[in-house]
Amino acid sequence: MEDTQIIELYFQRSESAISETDQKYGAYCNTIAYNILQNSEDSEECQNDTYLKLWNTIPPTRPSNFKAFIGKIARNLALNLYEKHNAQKRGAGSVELALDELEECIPDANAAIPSEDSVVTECLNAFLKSLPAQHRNIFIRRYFYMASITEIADFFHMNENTVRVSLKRTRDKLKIFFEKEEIYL
Amino acid sequence: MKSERLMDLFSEIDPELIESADIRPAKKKTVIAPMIISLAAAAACIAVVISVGYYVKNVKGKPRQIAADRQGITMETVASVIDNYRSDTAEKKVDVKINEVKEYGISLSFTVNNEEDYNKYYAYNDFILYKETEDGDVPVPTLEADQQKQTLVPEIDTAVGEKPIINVDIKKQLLFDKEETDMNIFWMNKYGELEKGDYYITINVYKIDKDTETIPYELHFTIE
Repeated sequence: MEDTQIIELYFQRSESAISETDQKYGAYCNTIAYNILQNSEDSEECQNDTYLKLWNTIPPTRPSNFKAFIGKIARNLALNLYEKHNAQKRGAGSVELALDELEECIPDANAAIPSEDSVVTECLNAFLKSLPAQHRNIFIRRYFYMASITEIADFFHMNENTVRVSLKRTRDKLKIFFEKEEIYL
Repeated sequence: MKSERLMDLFSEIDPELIESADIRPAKKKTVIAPMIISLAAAAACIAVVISVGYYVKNVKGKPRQIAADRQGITMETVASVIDNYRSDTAEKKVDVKINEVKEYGISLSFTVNNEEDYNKYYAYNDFILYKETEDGDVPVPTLEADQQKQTLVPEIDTAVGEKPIINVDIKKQLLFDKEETDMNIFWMNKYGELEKGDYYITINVYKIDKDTETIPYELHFTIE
């Protein structure tokens, strides 16, 4: 079924909207959640919460890109759940690893006033669009989809070292980009 | 934590970018054709030749930046550890930096930070040179080892200006037995100089008797 038809089902308050979403995007949604949570039960819970959130959000929202919309919701819910589970402990999970890596992108300016979310997002979008497609997609798979190096290498038919190199370079470039644009986090 | 904020903001990136990153590229049917094309293009344009494993004692102490400036080359002097291990726990035993960059070659310097680690680490010619392009990285082709040995020897005197001690076995491990050890990598202007652009060299440092312990490095330089 086309995305527009599924969205229409939500607007009609038809419960088949959920089953159609699950059929088309269930695995996609679960993969994002699992990449973050590394636990099947939690991922399933997150998947169901995503459907509930969709049900409550559409209408009035009519997403122009349904797939990305679902991905964002699943990612946010999974990160919230991860935070809840790990409030007291900091381990060496995939999220922690990704956070450590993202530290490298933070400009060195402790005293500066943090930029607004919208400004940072705009800058992030501009930066991502300036990258060659391959580097951009690798970067997004790592820090949006939270995929592991091995998964990314497999996804793009590359070796793992190439993926690491690409990520490292892009992180370095992002830091320089933020500094140039005077973005502070 | 600032990185947590950045990670959260990734949720707000352009939906089209999110979607495009979820498209699995088709597997390449063959690697031979692109290799031939890239080799042919390289032969026509630059024909870059690389040779490694030369240990040059007298590189040390040379005015490193002067040669680069004269030839319009900029360089970054500190290499990056590119492995994905946790940066806060990584034991960085060896530093790698670029000593000098010229059109025809590059000099790397390996520094062992602690005396107790002398004779424990080594490198050899498993480096790869990439040129950054719009379509991603393009490896710069190299010649076979024997060709490098035959063609490089008479050129080195001219290229470096001082006669180096040449390690003819380029497969030999370059053991870091003291604080600083240099390695020269040459590509010859006889076959063509590097084009303008950004280049990256990846090279590994290994621990003796422990092949699994590898520290990969990446060094960047620009030819303007």
